[in-house]
Formats: sequence, structure tokens, C-alpha cells
Amino acid sequence: MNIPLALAVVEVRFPESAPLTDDQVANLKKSLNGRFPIYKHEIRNGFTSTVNYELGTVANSPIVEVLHHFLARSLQTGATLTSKSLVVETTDYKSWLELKKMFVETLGAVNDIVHLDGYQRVGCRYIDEFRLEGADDWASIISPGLVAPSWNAGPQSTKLEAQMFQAIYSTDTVGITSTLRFGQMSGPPVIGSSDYLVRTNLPGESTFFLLDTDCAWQLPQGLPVPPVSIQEISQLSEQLHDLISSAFLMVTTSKFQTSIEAASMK
Amino acid sequence: MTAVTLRSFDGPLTGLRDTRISFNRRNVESGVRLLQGLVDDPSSLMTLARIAAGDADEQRRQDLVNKFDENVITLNRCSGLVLLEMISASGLSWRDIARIGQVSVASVQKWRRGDGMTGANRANMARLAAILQQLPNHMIGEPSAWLEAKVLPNVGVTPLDLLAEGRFDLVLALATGTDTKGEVESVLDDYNVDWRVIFVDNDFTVVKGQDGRPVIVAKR
Repeated sequence: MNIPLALAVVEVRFPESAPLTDDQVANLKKSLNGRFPIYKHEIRNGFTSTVNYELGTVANSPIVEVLHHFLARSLQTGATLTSKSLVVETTDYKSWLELKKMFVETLGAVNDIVHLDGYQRVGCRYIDEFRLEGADDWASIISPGLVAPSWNAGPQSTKLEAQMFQAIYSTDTVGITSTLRFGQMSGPPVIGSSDYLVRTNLPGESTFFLLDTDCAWQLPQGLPVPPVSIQEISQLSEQLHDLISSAFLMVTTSKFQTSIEAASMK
Repeated sequence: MTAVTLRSFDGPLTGLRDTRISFNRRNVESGVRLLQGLVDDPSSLMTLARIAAGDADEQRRQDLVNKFDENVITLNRCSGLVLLEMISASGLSWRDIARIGQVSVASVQKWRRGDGMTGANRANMARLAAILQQLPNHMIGEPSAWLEAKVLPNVGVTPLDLLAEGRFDLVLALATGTDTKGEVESVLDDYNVDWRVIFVDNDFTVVKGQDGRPVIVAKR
């Protein structure tokens, strides 16, 4: 049995801001240096097509997105700033308190230097990959309602080869939604390693149960974009994390939760 | 305690990684509305990234569009009946012509009998005829067969689907400058940023097992 969390992410999206100047990058690097001393930048190229149906013409415009990655020395934790979002993520999750602190402090540093116009979405996402050694008896760790039923096909024996499901929920808090993607999968892990975030002890191809919990608050249409408030964003992220925690408790068996607690106390 | 309710639309993903499971939801997706914010989903940048800016095909594509514009202008002078004859000569079925024209098959049959088309319908038919004329110039020997083929092996979208939604521009883009899978994916991104969720077939396929019954297996 493994500790399943492969990736934890907290994100805030904001109205598009101007590309960072070299001075801003230098200041950010200086400000985030204690936690994220490694800086890497990534350029993603794309294009967008605009169609004029009256004239029957198509105009293609290139899109260049620059991603500023600020990474811990382990390369397992980092913050990525784009013109529209700040993402703090880790494959080396210690606790929510630590992740939230990291997110809030990074957001504060970014806002001090970039002066964000507001915020439109706050997201929190945990991706778990459950693996069982030599077995796929998911009922021991995953709630029965999420596991595909065993199928007695009479004289023929059956073996579950694949299962996939996605459930999307709204909540009674306006703007907050939650998406669960789960199912038994076979193959490489869904969270791999990259130059911009390393996952150590990367599992090989195997059978695992994926639980991808993505909770987010999105500014409801028609409402004004609120100015950045670190406290409000922090509170929102807390609400989202509460949802994720309840999802984890809902999805996993008490036996498994006990095992995790025991393992984390070692 | 926060109450949660199952809802029927998808939203953008949090973070930089798209690990969405591929569902073949095409046939059950009617009525589903994606969040408006999905359009601005930064995660779509991951897929947009697959097309390089300053693409060397850019000029070629623009030339294609210019040629298409000229063809449409010329063909607009033709009668509806002539346009239909040109289109049907390509092998496209009446059903598909009706679908692209967003009219009933009965309407197409009336056109064939000489009934007049509205200006909008004739413009649509002129565009379709123009595209069909142009495709053979781009190594597409059998336009009707190409239009009906999936743009990628595991993606339930054909150029015909794009034409049926008026995306002549994307069919032009597919006809040229899509020599790689990444380029085709970029066209699909332009069509629907959520295409991986809506149109991609499962990563699993059903095959005949040893016992002769269908079994689900991971695609290799």
C-alpha cells in the first residue's frame, strides 16, 4: 500500500496582466529566493484563428505564453506565474498548512511586485494514485460505490480491465464546484516528471486507482472582478481544501484512512 | 457542512496539467454547456503550445485562404443547381450536403428539382463547392472520403463535422499545414478546447476475448 498523493496544486487566476519585465522577474526571484531559489522560464507557442464569415477569410495569430517557474531546490515544489495565473504545486506534499502558507506567501510576493488587477478563479486540486502490491482489490481502500461491480458471468470468470468515471458537483456556495475523476487505470502514472516539476520515485507502468479531485471557486458571470485580497483568497482556498478532504474521506475506506494516518506518524 | 449537488457541465482544470480521463461522451453530451471560462482556460495553452509561432506553413495557409476566397466569389455566380451538381460529383451524399447546409434532405431534393435557394443557402453551397474544388490540390485525392474520415484515429471528429458547424476555416487548416499530430490537435483546440474530454475515444477498447465475448482492454 502506498501513500497515494502524487500532486497537490493551489491556483489563482486573474485578469490578464502585461508580460513581466526583466526587473519584475529579478524582484520576484529575489523575493521568492528563500523558498524557491531555482528560476526557469518556459515559452509555449500557439496560434489562434479568427474567422471573418462575411469575407470568408481566416487570420491566424501567434500566441506566445511565457511561464515563469520558481522552484525549490528539490525541484519537487514550485510556483509558476503566467500572465493569467499563479500556480503553486508540489509532488512532495507535507501538509495543507504548509502548502497553503507557501501559496499565500507566494501570492503576496507576486501581488506586491506585479500588482494584480483582481482574481477570477481559485482552484485546489489533489491527484491521488492508489496502488496495491500484487492485487487490485480496490474494495479494501476505495468505497464500494466507486469500484466497478464484480461480474459473475456464469462459467466464465471475469477480470476488471478498466474503469473510468467523472462526477461534477456544484455546492451551496455560489461559484464553487468540485470535480471528481476516478477509476482504475493501467499504464504509466498520470503525474510524471518534467523539467519544471520533478516527481521522485516515479512508479513504473502498473495498475492503479486514480482519484483526481479538483475544487474551484469561479467568479460568477455578471459579478464584478474583486480586487486581490490575500485573506479572502486564502479563505476560499481553505473552503476548497475542506471539500477535497471530505471527498477523500468519502472515497476511501476507514481502514485505508487508518493506515495512512499510521504511516504518516512513522 | 457544504452540500454538494451533481451538475451537468464541465469546467477548466486547476493547474498546469491536463490529466483528464478521456471519455467518449459525444453521444451523451447533448445539452451539456461548458463553462464560458473554459475558453480562457490557461491549461489549453498546453495544447496550443504544439503549434509553433512563425509556422513555416503560415504563408501557405494564407495562400490557401486567398484561393478559397477567390473560388467562393467565382462560384457565387453559379446557379444553385450547378453548385449542387458540382458538389454531388465529388461523391458527397445528399444527407451530408443537407447536414452541411443545415437544411433537410427534402430541401436539397427540392433544390435539385430547380427550386430556388435562399442567399444564405447558396453562399453555403458555394463555400462547400469551393472547398471540394480545392482539396485535390492538397494531396486529397478523394475529398468525400477524406471529409468523412476521423481527423485522428481516436478522435470522433471528421472534417464533415467541422463543415456542418460552419468551420470551413478549420477544414482548410486541416487540408494544409497539418502534417503532424500536434498540428491536427491545434486545429481541434480551435474547434473545441474540451475536445479531449468530449470527442476522444476511451484509452480502452473493446476486443473479442478468448472466450469469444467482448472484453475491455487498454489500448497499446
